[in-house]
Amino acid sequence: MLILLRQGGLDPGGLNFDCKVRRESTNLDDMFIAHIGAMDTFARGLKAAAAIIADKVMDGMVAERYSTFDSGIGAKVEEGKSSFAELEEFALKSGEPEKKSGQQELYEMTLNYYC
Amino acid sequence: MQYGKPAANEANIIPPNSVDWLLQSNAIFDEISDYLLVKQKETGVKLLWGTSNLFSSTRFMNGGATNPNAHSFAFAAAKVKKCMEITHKLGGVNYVFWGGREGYQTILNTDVKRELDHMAAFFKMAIEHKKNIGAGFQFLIEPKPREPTKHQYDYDAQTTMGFLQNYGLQNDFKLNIEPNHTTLAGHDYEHDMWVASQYGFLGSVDSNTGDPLVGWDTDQFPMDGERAKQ
Repeated sequence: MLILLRQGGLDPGGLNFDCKVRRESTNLDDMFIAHIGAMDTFARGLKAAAAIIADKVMDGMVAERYSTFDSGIGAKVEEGKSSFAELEEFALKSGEPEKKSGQQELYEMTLNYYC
Repeated sequence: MQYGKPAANEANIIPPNSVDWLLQSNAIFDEISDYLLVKQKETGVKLLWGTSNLFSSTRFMNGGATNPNAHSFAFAAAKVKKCMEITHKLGGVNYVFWGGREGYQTILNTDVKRELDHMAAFFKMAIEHKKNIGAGFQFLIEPKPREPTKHQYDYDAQTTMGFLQNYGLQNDFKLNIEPNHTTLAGHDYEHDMWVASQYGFLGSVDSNTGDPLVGWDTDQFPMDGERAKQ
């Protein structure tokens, strides 16, 4: 749902369950429960995804992670205006890059916060 | 030098992290490659390819050409620049990019499109630098689906060819296929060889084999005549 909201929807596509109830689920209401249950599952996902986007927390974390490409030498790389010679000069001048954590567990925990 | 094949991985001949590492390693690389050149002339051994290690050091733990930190990206560029120059000096006929950490451990913290844009920018600058130094070697990308990262962008031959076409790099790159990586991608051993060859992208081969059951890269010597036949 997060992916679909971020791209502004799926029109004219849609969600096709492409599902069937298990062979042993033979009651008529099994069909009802299966469809309603799956729709509710996505509805919960949609509400959580909308909250994630509205809070801007996770998007902000990702944007911050790439922020060195928003200006300076990084922006020049993105504009296609840099070169290996310039980057070498930058690396020699700047020394060892800072070790920046990928913070995987923080991202996972943040995602878990929305439910 | 790697044993068993005339290819040079700079991590095998340069010591690990130190202050002013880049300056020191470049100086050591110059000195050692002088020696390698003497030995090449003595023995007649030619250099199949050179490559740079952008995956062992912590400075590349989040990638080289796809590192979210522009400083690390610049460091990767500096390393590849030097390694290309040394490969040219040693008469290397190919230059390999194996993107061991050009991928992600979790997609949650990753801007995939931005990372691939950066990787393409990196390769375009490599093409430019190759022209600048007058090198004639062929650029090769070595696909692998994962390990050490959870997902590697150069997943398999078709994915990598799609990337090259998408960014207009198809005329400057071919593929270095390692069938052991092909099986890790869930294909038959010979699949990527066939596909790359049929599209004119087969440039070189890491001719090892893996174990069909263990599920990781074992780099074993090839002893299966049936596979070698294909």
